[in-house]
Amino acid sequence: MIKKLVVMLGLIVFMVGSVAQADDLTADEIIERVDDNQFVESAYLEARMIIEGRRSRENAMYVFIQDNNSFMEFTAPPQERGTKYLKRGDELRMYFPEAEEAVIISGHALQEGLAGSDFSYQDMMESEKLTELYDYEIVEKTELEGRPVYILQGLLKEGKEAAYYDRKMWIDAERFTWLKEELYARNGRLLKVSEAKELQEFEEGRWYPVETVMEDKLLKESRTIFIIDHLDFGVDIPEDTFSIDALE
Amino acid sequence: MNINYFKKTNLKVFFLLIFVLFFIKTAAAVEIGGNIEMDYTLQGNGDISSIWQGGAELEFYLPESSDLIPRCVLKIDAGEGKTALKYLYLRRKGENYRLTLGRQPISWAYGSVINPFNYGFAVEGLGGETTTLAVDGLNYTYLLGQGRRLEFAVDYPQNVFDSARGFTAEKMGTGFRLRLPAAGLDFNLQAVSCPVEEPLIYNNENFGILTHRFNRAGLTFKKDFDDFALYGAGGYYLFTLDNADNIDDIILQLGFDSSFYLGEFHQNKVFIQGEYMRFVNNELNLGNLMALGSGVDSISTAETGTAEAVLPLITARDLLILNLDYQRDMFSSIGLALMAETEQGAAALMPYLREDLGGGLEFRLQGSFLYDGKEEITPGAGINLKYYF
Repeated sequence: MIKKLVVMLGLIVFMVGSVAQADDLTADEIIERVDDNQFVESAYLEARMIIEGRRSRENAMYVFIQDNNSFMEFTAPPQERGTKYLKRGDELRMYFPEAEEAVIISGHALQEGLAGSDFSYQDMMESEKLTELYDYEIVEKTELEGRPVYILQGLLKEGKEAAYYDRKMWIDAERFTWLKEELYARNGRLLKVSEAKELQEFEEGRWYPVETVMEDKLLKESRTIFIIDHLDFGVDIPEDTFSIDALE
Repeated sequence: MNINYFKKTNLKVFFLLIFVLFFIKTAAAVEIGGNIEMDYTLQGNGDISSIWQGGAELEFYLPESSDLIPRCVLKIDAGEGKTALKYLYLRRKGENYRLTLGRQPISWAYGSVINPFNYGFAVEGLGGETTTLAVDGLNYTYLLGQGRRLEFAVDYPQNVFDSARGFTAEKMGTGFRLRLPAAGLDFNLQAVSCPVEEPLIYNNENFGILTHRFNRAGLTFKKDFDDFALYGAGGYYLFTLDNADNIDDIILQLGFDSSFYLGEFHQNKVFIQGEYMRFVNNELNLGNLMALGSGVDSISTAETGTAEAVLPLITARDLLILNLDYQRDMFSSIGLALMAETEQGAAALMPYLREDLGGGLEFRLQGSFLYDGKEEITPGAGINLKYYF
């Protein structure tokens, strides 16, 4: 009888201890695990971007990403086919297939949407880890569409530059990937809302959103759906893929 | 630079190119894409003229290898029933060079609407419209790394060789460009020498053609300042005439572009661009630059009262251009383009509306008000529908 009590007590202590450990994750630890999943060191992907507003348009593209560089080429629609973007560090260049010439995207043009989408050039440019850009704190732990989530609030660190000053994130508490994000301007205005509609496990424990919806809250009925049709992590990308000369 | 049609030699070259490529990669598919376009324009003051233009561009996406890239684009004018090669070239990509042979685009744009030191005459983003220069020639680009490059171009018009005179080098155009991009700054040195032909007509009799040389050399720059960009050009023009003294001039250009947001939530983007170009000695004018044409991509010309109405504009010693574009949403924008000169006050005002109708269809409604600087205003309007496939 006493033995059973001791075993049961041990089990209870163990279970309580486990729960206490999970709940003891700090905001930084949560975001670090998100970065482990989301931050891409090198990848190749094929994707579609469906822009919905008064009308709709679908862009198709393939993308190479490595460190702080990325290369993207549109394969559809016909009027965008052959248009390329090259991001090297903080500089973004665009190649026009008609003139066969590449130009630097001016600083003032970075706010506008990529190919008319709700993803701005600045959204594209951000390649630092979340932990490097924002200070996070846990708001609460709750549920979102049946998944346990942490809600975290992130404020841009002093001296850092990013597209958004304030980010509120709903992080899947088991998969450590974001499910929803609200992006705010410095004056508190809600600018965009992003939701991960579909996740896929690529490596064991590495979940990544393969369907994302971005809504621009400044525009009526404006949203962009980003669908990844093919994704390879950790690919070996030839060095000259990100050279300015290769763009033209 | 002459209009080129499907002459026998070009037809043979075209099919030979396709044939060779098929032998190289017989299993690879050739995709076809392009666009179909229709224009309807009304112009005039009192006597109104209307023009309908229709056409298409067909691009054959040919199989390419990592170091050999072919390109073939046909242009069709439905109204005149003419077909021409817009582009037909082979490009060889080496480790530190590019060699392009054939009919090809040459764009030495640097961010201005008109680059006075471009290889020919082209317009970039005037009221949302861009023309591209196409030449028959050779382009060799030596890559210096980090986007820097030295480019050398030679073009040979249709009449560079004839049975009567043989090869006439004076009819060839040449040019070079040294491009030096750096962080937030684009800097170019350019020099071009092109022939300009003038028919020698006396008492309605044609006495042949005079070939003059139009030589230009200058530098261009564009500097990005986050909220706006500043650009400019400066250089020298020398017109060597076949039967008269040379004419020269100095050209200066300064411009800016910027964008900002309007609306309660700053949701509507406004783009503004302005530039001013001046022929300092008043010896030459924009018309001399326009006479270079846009290369071989001039398949059809529209004879309207427009040419007379804009004459004061293109023969003046300076030119002011303003571009304003207001984005209503991601599918629609309205805008205004203004060209004006300060001597007589001639101006052209062109408001427009652009709509992406979805499904590859784009619509453009455009107006024009041409003021000759005295008292006459020539209004016009046009509709353009373009379908991409």
